[in-house]
Amino acid sequence: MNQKYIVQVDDLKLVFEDGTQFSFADINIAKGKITGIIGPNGSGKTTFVEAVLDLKKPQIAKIWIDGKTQKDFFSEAKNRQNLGSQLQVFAFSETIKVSEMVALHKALYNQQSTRVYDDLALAEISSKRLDKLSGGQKQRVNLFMALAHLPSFITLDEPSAALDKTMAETLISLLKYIVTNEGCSIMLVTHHPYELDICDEIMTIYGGTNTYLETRKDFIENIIGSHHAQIFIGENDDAAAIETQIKHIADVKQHFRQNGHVDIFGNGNMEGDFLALVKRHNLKSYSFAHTNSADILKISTSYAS
Amino acid sequence: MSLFIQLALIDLKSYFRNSFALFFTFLFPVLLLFLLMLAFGGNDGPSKTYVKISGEGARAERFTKDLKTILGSSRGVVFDIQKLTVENAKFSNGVVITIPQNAAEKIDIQVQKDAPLNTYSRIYALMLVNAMGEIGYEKWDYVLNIVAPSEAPILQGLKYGQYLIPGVMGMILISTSLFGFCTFLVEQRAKGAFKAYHLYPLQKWKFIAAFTSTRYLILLGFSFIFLFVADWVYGMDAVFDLALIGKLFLLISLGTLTFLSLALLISARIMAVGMVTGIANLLFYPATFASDLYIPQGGFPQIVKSLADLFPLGPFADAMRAIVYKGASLSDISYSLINMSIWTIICFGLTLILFKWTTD
Repeated sequence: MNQKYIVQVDDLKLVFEDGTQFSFADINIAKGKITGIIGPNGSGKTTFVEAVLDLKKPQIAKIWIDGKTQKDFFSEAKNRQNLGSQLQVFAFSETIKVSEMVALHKALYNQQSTRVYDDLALAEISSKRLDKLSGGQKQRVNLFMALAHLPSFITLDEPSAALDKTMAETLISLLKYIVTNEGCSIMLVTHHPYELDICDEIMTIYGGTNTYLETRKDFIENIIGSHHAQIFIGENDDAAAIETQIKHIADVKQHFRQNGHVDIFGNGNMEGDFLALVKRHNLKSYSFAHTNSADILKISTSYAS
Repeated sequence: MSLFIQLALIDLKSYFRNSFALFFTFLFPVLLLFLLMLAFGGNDGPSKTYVKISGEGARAERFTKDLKTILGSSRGVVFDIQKLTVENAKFSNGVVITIPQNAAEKIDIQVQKDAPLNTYSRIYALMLVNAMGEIGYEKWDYVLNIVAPSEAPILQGLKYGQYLIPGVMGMILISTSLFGFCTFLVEQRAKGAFKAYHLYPLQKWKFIAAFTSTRYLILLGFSFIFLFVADWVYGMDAVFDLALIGKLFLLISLGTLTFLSLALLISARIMAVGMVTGIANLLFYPATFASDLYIPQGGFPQIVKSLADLFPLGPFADAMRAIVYKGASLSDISYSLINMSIWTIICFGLTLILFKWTTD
């Protein structure tokens, strides 16, 4: 298998009792990069990650992790020394104290980063039992268990869920630090623009299958476009005529109408035609800007097709 | 600190912070013993059922010898011929058997009727009738009467509390293993807690060994506390010297490991909490009912006795009664020790192969 990739999925099929099916193929997650996995709720992001982590039993699984078959990777404890995973569920016995989780981590991995401990501010909650922690505090412990040994392969599933803004920003800095200094690879399931901001590659999942896997630059250039225009349509505006004219603007890659506004994605060259359209229809409320992570998430979730 | 010790320490600390678990492990058994004593033990604390055998001559001697052989080997019965004294004459529960010298005359069996709450004396009477059948007496050879208390010399004493204490201990060990520990593991798996363990550099055997060690210590602690309380409250009439404590330590350790391994095996593949409760109930109730824990096994069909003897619960209680009340040596209880060892090895072995971290 190609050593450039931390995860390779040639073929992965899962069928659940309720008939839900997931099918993934030809996925190569690059080493040393942060790969964001995005898509609508229920599209299969967590299922994909858990299947890669051998937590789901698929019908077909041709998966390699760090050059080893999935089976070989998980059959030896020493391989898991280099794995750090933050799952959505953090369900340890409620009467365990945070300090004991820290001690367990130390016993599991024999190494522990003080930077991770400090950044996640575990000292202030170390004497508390897990059942006395808030959702955000539990998430910090969950992240500590995944990151503190500075593993070479990390999977994170909505890591900043339940974190306050300050802690979410700290986490982003910490992830950047780990990738930069340790050269690790991260698979990051996310719905948050600030998490997507640090992703080098983007993989989209829609309807139980993978749709795109591109570098961030290519994803923007090929799928969305460098710019995002938005028009708010009032009651007196001729929405049908506006939409028809948008279709004729060169360089528009995608446009969507929803809840009284139209989103237009395309290259910067569309600016002139867009402004002419605004003027023609005397539209009062509009915007034109570079595409950002929020736009990428919008494309991959609300309107994905 | 090694991973094994760390896992065990965390589990132990976590357990002792759980007040519900502590109640059901340490306090509930004492309450259960109290309730069973109330239900089966008679009005005035530990009850005694006496068997008086009156008669002289070869027929009476042979009858006494045969009956002693049969009942003396039954679980829960301490068949010890003794003369009635003024002190034990106050016990009114009993069975009086009169044996005429003439073989043509019927044997008279009288069950005293002034012990209505003493269920055990009635069960004993049934066992007696059953035993007579085994030593060759047909039902036309004797007459069964319900009579008023006799003041004649009485033989055979039985203290229900002594019989009950090892039984209740066995019952609590298996119920805590099944309903406490086994259910806990299945719940943890169902909640997804074990997903993380699958991803840690942690071998299953280490987790299972740490969990077993912790729970073993908890149950061992419970057992000796229970014995101490039971002896203090009800009196076990045993001398707890070093030799007895050593034998008890070995027996309880093996019994605990047996029931733990059984619980671990059940938890190995069951994914739903509802299902584990059902299976635990299915195992627990017949096993505790048939294993001579609190209801004597004497009147049960042979097939039930045989099956119960294969399951480790009965042999555990048997062995404990034997070493506590009869001063049995380890070789005397070798069947029980071998039985439990086999169960332990098989269950642990299968657990190591079958145990799953996830519900998929």
